[in-house]
Amino acid sequence: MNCGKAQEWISLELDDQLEPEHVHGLQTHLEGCADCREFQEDLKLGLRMLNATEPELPDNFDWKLQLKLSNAMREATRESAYPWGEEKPAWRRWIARAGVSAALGMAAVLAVAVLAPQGLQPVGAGSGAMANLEASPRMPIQSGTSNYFDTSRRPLNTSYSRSNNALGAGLQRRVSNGSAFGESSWSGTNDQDLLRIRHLEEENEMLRRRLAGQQHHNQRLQAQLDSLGDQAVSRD
Amino acid sequence: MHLSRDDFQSSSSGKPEGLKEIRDEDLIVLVQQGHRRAFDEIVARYKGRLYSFILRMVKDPTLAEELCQETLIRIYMHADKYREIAKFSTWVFTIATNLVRNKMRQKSRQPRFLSLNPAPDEDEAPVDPADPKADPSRAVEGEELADLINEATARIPEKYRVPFLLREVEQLSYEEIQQVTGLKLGTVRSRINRARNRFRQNIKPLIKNEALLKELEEIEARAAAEDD
Repeated sequence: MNCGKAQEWISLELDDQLEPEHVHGLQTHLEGCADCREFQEDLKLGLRMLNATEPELPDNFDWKLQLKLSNAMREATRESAYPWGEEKPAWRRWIARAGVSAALGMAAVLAVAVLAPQGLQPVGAGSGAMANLEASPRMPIQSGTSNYFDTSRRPLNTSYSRSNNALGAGLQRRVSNGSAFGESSWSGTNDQDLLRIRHLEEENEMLRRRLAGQQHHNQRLQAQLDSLGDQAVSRD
Repeated sequence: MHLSRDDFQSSSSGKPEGLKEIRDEDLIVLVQQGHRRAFDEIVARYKGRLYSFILRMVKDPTLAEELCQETLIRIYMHADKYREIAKFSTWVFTIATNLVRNKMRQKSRQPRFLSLNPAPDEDEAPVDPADPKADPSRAVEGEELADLINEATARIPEKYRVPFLLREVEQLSYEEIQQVTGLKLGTVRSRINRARNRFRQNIKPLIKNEALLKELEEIEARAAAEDD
């Protein structure tokens, strides 16, 4: 037996893994080999040293663990409450809100351009997105009169009017060119376009209020959830 | 197992009583049922072992503490995933080993200077000769035995060190090491053997140092006195 094999068997013998039939062979080798005897003694002493010098835990280990565990549990609770992701900071929520409002406004503009019939209809008799205004309990429409045709009710400033007139003219051009808007009812006249824009503004405002209401409700629910989480952690 | 909270109330020392005789595998079942005190007992049993294992793997005490706590948190948060198809300790050290490996992999990806003498990385690579700078007669004042042993352990290549520490420090069986590391049984044996050869070379200078041997005897005597 060479020393490499003997040292492998010494290692196995330390773990009681050496095959019984090899025990005698190893003993015979050790009796005649000073190097392997030294190897065996060194190894045993080294492992004694290793086991005697177990590192001590740092101070505050338990306290830090408790803190991290509380945070992990809180995070897990929050994740289950927000399956779509973490709660975003205020400025990101504001941007998201503005983005949603803008998208809804644009969608409404497109819906009107595509769906509304030729010429502007009174809301009470209308259909599509505008008809929702009448049905909405948050924005009651006075029966018999139309708020949308009263252009004097809220004068538009000049620049706003001009820019939206440009938008109307652009849409009109696309209609006349047979664009994807098809048989759009966009009137092409400034007064009617302004009325349409006002309708959209008001609808946009209504949707914004609804969104704000939902967000407020959502914040209240989150506050309740956080409070329950704190109570659960303190109780444990 | 039918235990209630009343079966293991806290003692005046703050440690839960009635849990000490329970097997690890039953403790984790209690944790799955929502018994926080059972988790306290698991922490008490494993925190020292985990810290010892992880510190000797990563060498950095702060990082070792973080990884040890992360392991314990994962045990709690994922307690429901444990099934008694393996020993609980095997599951625990599998989590710890994976965390340590991920961390070491992250560190190895960080840019660093190339070594002109990289450590041999293959099983077939010969064991390094003993460090010629390690003089057995060097002064050891200011350096404790624990530091020197940690250094000697840290110089074992990582792939050998994992099974070596699981065997020597955690006293896992070869089969349990196989489960933790995913290695074949023969490879586990071979790596432990190679690690021991390297460890013996690294500690050779210490063995001839009388002061360190005396310190070892003192440490062992203190430990024996504490056990009594």
